[in-house]
Amino acid sequence: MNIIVLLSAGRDPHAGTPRPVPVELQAIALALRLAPATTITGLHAGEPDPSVLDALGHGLTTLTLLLTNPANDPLAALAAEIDRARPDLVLAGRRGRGGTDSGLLPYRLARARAMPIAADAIAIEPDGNDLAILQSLPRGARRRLTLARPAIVTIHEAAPPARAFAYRARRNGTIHEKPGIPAPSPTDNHEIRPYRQRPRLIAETTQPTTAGHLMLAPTPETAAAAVLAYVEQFRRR
Amino acid sequence: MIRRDPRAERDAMVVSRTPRLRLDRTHRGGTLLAPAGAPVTAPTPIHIAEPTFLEFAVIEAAGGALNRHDRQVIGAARTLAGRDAAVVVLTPPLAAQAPDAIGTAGGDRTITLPTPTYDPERNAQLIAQAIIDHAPRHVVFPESADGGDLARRVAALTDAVLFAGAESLTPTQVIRPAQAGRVELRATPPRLISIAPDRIAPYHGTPHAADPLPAPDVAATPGGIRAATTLAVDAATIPLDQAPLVIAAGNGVTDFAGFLDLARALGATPGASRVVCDAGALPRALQVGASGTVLNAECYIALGISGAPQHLQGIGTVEHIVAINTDLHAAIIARAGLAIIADAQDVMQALRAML
Amino acid sequence: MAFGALVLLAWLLLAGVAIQAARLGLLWRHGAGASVDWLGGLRALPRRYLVDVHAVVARKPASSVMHQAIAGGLLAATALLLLAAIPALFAAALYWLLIALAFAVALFGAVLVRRRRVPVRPASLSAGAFLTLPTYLGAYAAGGLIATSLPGVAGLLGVAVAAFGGIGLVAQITGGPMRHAVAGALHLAAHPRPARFAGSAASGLAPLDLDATRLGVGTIDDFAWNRLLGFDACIQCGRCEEACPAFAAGQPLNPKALIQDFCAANRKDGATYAGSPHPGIASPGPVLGVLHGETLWSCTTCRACVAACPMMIEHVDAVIDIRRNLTLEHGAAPGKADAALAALRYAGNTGGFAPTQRLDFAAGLKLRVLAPGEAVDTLLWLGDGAFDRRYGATLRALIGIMRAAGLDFAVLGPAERDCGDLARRLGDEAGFARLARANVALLGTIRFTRIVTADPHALHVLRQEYQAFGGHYTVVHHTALIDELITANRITLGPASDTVITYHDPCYLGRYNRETAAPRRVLAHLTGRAVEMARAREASFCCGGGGGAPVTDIPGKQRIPDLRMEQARETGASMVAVACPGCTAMLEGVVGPRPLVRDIAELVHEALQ
Repeated sequence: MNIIVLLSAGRDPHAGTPRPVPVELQAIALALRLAPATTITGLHAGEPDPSVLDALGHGLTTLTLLLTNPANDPLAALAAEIDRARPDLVLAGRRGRGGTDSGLLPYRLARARAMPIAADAIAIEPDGNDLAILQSLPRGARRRLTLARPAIVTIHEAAPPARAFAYRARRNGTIHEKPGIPAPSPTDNHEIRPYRQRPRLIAETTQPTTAGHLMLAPTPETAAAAVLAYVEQFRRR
Repeated sequence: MIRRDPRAERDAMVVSRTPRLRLDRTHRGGTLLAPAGAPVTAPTPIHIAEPTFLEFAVIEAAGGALNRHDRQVIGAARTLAGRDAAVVVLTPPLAAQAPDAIGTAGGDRTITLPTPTYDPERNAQLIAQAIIDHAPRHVVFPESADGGDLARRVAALTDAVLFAGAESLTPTQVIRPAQAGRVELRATPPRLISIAPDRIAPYHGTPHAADPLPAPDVAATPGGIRAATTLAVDAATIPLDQAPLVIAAGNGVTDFAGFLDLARALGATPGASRVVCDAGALPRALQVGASGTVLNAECYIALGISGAPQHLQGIGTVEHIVAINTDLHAAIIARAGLAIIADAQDVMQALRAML
Repeated sequence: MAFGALVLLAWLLLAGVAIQAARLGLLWRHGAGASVDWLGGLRALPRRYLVDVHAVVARKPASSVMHQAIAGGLLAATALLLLAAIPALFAAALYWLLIALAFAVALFGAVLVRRRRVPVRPASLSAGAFLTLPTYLGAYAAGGLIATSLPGVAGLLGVAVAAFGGIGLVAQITGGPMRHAVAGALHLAAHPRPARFAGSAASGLAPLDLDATRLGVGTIDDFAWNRLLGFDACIQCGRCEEACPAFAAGQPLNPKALIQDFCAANRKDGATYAGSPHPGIASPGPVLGVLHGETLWSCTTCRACVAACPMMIEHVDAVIDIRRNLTLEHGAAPGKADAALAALRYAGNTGGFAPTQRLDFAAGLKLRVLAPGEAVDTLLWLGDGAFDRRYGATLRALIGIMRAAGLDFAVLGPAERDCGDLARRLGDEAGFARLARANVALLGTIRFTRIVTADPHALHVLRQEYQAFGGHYTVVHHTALIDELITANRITLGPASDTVITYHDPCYLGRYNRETAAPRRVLAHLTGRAVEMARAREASFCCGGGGGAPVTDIPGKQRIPDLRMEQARETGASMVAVACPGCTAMLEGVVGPRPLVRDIAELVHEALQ
């Protein structure tokens, strides 16, 4: 199977340094379960960002860089490369971590190339000419999908862990540089400010009467009743 | 330049209108409880017969009922609509009593998306058609797993930008994090917005009257998703770091078969303290803590666990903790929302008897 | 007649030794090249043997007597016999009495050797060829004694018995215990870490060429030849096994078996090892064809084995060499190691915290943060313990002491990166080199006379391991600083309490840097009732927090900190004084009733007047 893993320029959330997006590294690990490393290519449109190059340390052996201004819209460059490479499967992280982080690009690419897309996969298997996808849903739930090939699949954080970083692999990886296609980014007139933490809503239902309560030596039955009352809203619905 | 709309801003700050108008001028997002002394006689629902414009709220309504996030989505659309515009709620078929819930949540119209099974491609087409038919100013989605997926499909289909995961919303400004959460983007609300859970207040005002609108008419085309089945969830097999409710056994537990039984009955995922795993009483994979699994649970029940520093590191982000321990001075007691000074083994048995 | 035959036997045995040594030499040639100062090594050999080796041997007095008798007697008798080829000596009756005396001493030694394993063989001693050793030793010594003291046929019979013993011993040079005599002597001369002798604390790891075709040790032949020689010097005395905290906790590491695994990997005929195995794991494993990764990741790099080894073998260097290969080439560090290394790579600290959080512990303290170009007398290196809420209390206490003493000091603040200790011990030499270069560059932008740190790991790395990266600093541990401040009357402490306190030596302070006196002097000001654990100073027992062990987290039967806390309990102490963030975290992680754990800085700060 010919697989492309989309890589984005990631940033460490605390230090701000270039750092691969963890869920994209998990996508590489999933790809390696499906196909030999030689048929898997990392694809990035932008600059040779260290965060993208570091993906080579996690099991990826080949990386194609479509050199464009990172402020450009990568869609046209990526779409052209997918037309050329004709992959059976394109993997991406469910969200980037370091750019606009909107998770929109895989969907735009799917639309541009008329490929089906499925989100939040944690396992992928070939199923005849289709793909069997296991999708992660909230609270540990799972959904099984059958998806026509070629397809774009985004990977969820609950997927198996990424391969550990190996310095040798990072150094030995092959990097193909190609010119990208310059394209202006979709206009979004926003203002950028340092992030300010805002309090979450305190929802009515998560305020049990016993919150912050201390019960000193209750009878086991009283204690059990209090526990059940507190826990009720979190039990499987 | 962002033009300000004082009236809409004031509306956005409304926490409740009954029994008296209350405003949250800080607009910090945290809402108060629904007023306890709600009027005995139901107020006349607000009916917006001739809206000046429309706002869309696309909800998940899993199981045919509105969840918290759905109400927040409708609340956000309500905020954007103000008093004179109508909120159109696009929803999967709802359970019988639920249309009332739409009005209570602030919706004025309902479009039921006639999609019998999981088919996000089809839903996206229907919503895109509805957008063409009704030309809403904004479309608000929940930034949830399926809601976020649908929002992106609609964005790609309509070639629009999605303002994904808004954490603050007024008629004139939406804010969301970007660049690994290090910055925030502020913008005039664009057409497509998804809102992060528990950030935007639901509507608590006088209920609206929600009238049905016809579903958009789009010919069904075969999509790329050929089949979908939702799998039954067994709490015991959810990976510990994804489990919403975890119950863990420590030193104070002696009957581990009974403990696992209780976890099953409670629908909780079992965990354990390091000491218990070291002793081999429960498998190492169940260990909660810095050297075991770091939890992302909503609620954690600690049975007979004192709360060593490394253990507390493993439950650092858990908001709701129930601790049952004989030692009043145990570290976990200070951390618990419900702390019970009692023998964990006894309480465990009482719990099993109740379930 | 018997005398002549005996001299001939000695010369034939010498030839046999030479042939056997050459056969060993061919095995060591498999190893990678190493630059060895042969002249200096040979010149230092007697001193290394008589001082360094015997200082270790003498820690077990019975073994010391045994080894002096058998080695001294055997070598003296044989050397005298060889010299008896000189006619003048051959003719001197007194000379033969001397030889007889030497054989008698050797015979006594042989009896002592036998007594080590008979009637009961201690678990840490190997069986196998070691069981026949006393027979050969005894035969050679007894035969020599008979040949030199009895006339006629009895004398000749003695020669025959000595020949049996001597040939047996020579045969054991390639495949048995006597290998240690040949390899041991050469190992002392060609030691891979020549700076460690004569009381020196040299214990830093050597940097790795990151452009090499093979990174670290991936096959047995990747070890330098003098490392292979060193492994062959092992006499399987089991002192490392007794010292090893991982072995004691039932983790799958026995340092003695580890060295024998290396010896086996370098031979086609494979394993002849007959001692305790690596606990709870079946040999052989995939690493070097003999080992399991779990064995290597169990090591806390505490160097207790190295300090206990009379043959001066460098177990920890070998462990790190293989870890480098596993981590750099295969990304095979287990547990949470990859996450910790990623945090170091991208955030510059082990917890992945925002760099600004390094000063969170000091909120309100108004610490002076050095900007490039600024100067200060004492630079306070905070270390990654600063991110830990508990350890912040220790750092605040230390800052309080430094302020009370009126010291001119400052911190690097958010610019400080982790020293790289964790990366280096986990084998991520690339990560370590990056951190080392960044920190050395940062330290180059400011001026200071010395660095003070409360973290012995940072102390060791800054003092010993940054030198290869161009960083040469005076680094002082906070216990040494406090000791200095008390002696100089810069701080005054209240009267000593009567709390029973025992001091736990951090490995990277006590063993790696041989600093054990200053903390004890400080403690003597704090309490009149300081007690020592059975394992203290250079023989201290690790807390389990070194070498990345908490992140690789290899399971055993018990936990190392629990064992150490039990040793503290045995002293009757109600408090364990510590001097390292790692030790604090590990020992405070022991659950159940236990002595309190306090850093010396906290105790001193409380006692300030």
